[in-house]
Amino acid sequence: MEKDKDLDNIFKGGLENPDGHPAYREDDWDAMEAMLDKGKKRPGIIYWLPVLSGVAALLLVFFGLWFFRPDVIHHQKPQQTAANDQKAKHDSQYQLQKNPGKSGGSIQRQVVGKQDTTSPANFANNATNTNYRSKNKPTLTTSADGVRRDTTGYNQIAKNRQTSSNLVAFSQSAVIAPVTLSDKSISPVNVLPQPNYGASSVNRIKVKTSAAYRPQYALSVLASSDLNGVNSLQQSKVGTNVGLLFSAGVFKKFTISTGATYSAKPYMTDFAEYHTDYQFQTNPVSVQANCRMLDIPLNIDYQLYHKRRNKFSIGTGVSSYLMLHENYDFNYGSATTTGPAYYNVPHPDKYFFSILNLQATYERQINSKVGISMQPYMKLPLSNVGASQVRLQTTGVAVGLTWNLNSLTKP
Amino acid sequence: MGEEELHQLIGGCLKQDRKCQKMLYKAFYGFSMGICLRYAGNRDEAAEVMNQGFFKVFTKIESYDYGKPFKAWLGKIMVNTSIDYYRSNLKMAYAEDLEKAEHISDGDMADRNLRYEDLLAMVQQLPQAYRTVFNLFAIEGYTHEEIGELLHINAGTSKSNLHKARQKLKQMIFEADAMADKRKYNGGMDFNSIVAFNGIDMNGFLFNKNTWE
Repeated sequence: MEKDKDLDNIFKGGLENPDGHPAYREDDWDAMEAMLDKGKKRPGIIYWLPVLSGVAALLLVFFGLWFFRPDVIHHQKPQQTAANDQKAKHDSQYQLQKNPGKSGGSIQRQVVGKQDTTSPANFANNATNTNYRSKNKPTLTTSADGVRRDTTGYNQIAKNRQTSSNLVAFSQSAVIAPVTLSDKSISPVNVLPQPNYGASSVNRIKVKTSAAYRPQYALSVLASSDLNGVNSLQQSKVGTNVGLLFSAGVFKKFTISTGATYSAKPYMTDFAEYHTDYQFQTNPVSVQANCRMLDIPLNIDYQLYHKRRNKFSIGTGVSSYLMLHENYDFNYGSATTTGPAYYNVPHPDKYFFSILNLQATYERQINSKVGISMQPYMKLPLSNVGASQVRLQTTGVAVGLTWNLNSLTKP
Repeated sequence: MGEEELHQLIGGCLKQDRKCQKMLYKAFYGFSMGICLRYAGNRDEAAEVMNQGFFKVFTKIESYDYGKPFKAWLGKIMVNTSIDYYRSNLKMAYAEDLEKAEHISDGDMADRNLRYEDLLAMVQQLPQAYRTVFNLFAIEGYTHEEIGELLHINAGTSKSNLHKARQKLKQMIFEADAMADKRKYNGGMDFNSIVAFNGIDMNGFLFNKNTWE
């Protein structure tokens, strides 16, 4: 009997006060919360999350296409300014004519331009009192510089120019009054955006750190389909990727992940983007590349939302491309031109930290061990990759299966 | 946790405030899990039972009497929930024969220093019926009559289950000792390696023999 008491006491003593022994698991609370919510209406956002992440994916693809379309606008700009230069003289003329007559339009235009422009304008107008030749005076072109930025007014200019001589003629005496008016109107206009210092202090997030926090480890298998292009995604080709990722939750809401993804990235580029030492007799029109590589990412993700089984996070990081296979096919404009048809890179290189990753991830736990995820992502070039030194960019959506490694080990 | 803070949390739970519920849950997670782990076969089961317990706590928090210690109230709910769970799982409980364990000598049980994890693992290895009675009698301190009422069994069954539980636990402790001794004196290592050596030798011999014939 005594021995039995001893045995009982061993267990009683050892097991009675287990405070702190079993470590807290967030999964358990999630289950608890689900139990408490049963019967209550679940918040709508849960149902919307898959939709939201779908929208996020579309936005990423859209912005990817939009940001990296060819710079058509930039090429057109110099032409516009050239046209402006031609019109500059007319502008100055116009200013002279317009100021005295209908004051509204011209005064605003001076505000848009520089404040200095008022003084040459005054000077010019004064000059017209005495001498009409001042229209072509060099002082006027400085004021025209301010005007040039307002491109919308040109139609009016053209119209008004026809009546210009008349206008000038009857309005010379009224010149000074509207211009001084415009001087006053300039000062109260505060064009610069004012930073709002007060607002930044409002949203301070309290982060509680608990000592009992254990890092969370997870293993994911990802498969994705994406669009690849050089400089833009206009001429994009569809690539496929399969990868394995290991992730560790380091702080409460941050997760670091790394792994390897096998990627097949075909892309098409104009020959202008293709860099090579080889001298083509006739340059190809375009190059079709076919690359296979290992993508080694190092990413950090921040969890924006986590309730019960749903997680939503955004992240960034860098990728290293280890080329396994590089092959270029050259397309010549006409069938008659001769030249190399393709180039196989004999020793594909490695490009460390050459790609910036941006991704958004929606993950849903199926049970405590397994979850599924959907991840729209973008890969932007930090440096040139490949034997052809192209700025390769990618946008796509990955789907994945995640194992929570923590639930396999007992605390 | 201070008395005042605890009362604030309970006040929050009365209003079904989710944040307070979570804080209370976290604060007493270790304590509650410690109880449920003893009654359950593994951690997942324990977590399930514990959550059922906390569900009772959150839905019946108004029945808590501020004059009494909260921890005792919570502990009692956890034990009762564990018993409920046991009752609902009675089918899969029982029956492991203890013939082998019958003749284990009562060695000196007193000054042993087993770790929490080891003790817990042993208790969890017990069949559910034995485990429940052992917990209630040895740790919670119920009498056989009370246990009989709680589990809807008679006092005799309770006694017999307790006896069997103790026998099994003793067996486990001695096995653990034997393992520890082996490790300590290296005797087991030598013995094992000889067995392995012989085994390999035998295979080689047989294989060779085959090639000769």
